[in-house]
Amino acid sequence: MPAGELTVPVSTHPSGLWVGIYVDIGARVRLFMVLDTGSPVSALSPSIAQHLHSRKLLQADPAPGYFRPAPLTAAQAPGHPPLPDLAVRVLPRLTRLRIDGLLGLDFFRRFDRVCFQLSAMRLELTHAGA
Amino acid sequence: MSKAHQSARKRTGALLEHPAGQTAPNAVAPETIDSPETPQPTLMTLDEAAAAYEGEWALMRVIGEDEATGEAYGEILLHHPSRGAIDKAARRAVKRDPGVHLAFILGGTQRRTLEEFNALLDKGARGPYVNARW
Repeated sequence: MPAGELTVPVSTHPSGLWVGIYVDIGARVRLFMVLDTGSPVSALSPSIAQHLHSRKLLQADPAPGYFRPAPLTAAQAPGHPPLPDLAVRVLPRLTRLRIDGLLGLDFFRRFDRVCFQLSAMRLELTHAGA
Repeated sequence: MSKAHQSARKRTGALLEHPAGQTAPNAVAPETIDSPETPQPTLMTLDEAAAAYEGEWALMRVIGEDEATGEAYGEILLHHPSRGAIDKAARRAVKRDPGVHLAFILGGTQRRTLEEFNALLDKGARGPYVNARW
């Protein structure tokens, strides 16, 4: 695998409506985050946000309404490579959709190249300059 | 399944919590339990748990990783249709061990083959429209 490239297995939400990846937050909480290029920012459900906050894995961001999770890693990728630091919103709508979190455009824009390889069901992310 | 995974399944751990009248799909048979007071935990990988508990949420205490595949495995602390019940179980788990590594799993959220993926997307596309807008 080229330097600066992440290869992450993709899982499907049982609804058949979304795909996503499992992410570890602070090496203490693992959750499924939907890949959502239609969302400008990444988000967490209220229940997960509350759980992370109680464990000091989610801190308030200087920007109102945003929060900073502890370091993210790709849970099902070999070596659990780190993922970009994100500021996330808390989105009550996610509870109704049975989604714990979503990765929005703020996540994807941190990479130079984003490839969803369907035949292998994996996401390939290449950092700029790699 | 690797030897590491097989040996992991033989480990003992904390008590399981299951909804009344339910047992885990691959729970250890009663006759193999060492003592009536020390039930064996259900150990499985994340994908196995996701497949086993479709329609429910599951809370896993991540214990380790399979040396061969790198896939995480752990003990299912609770599987339940109610997310609120899972959140309560998570709080209890953290109270017992503040450093516990927990995985929140929505049953059915798992890695699939391309054929399975396409079939699931077709099913989702034929279903009712879901308003997921901001």
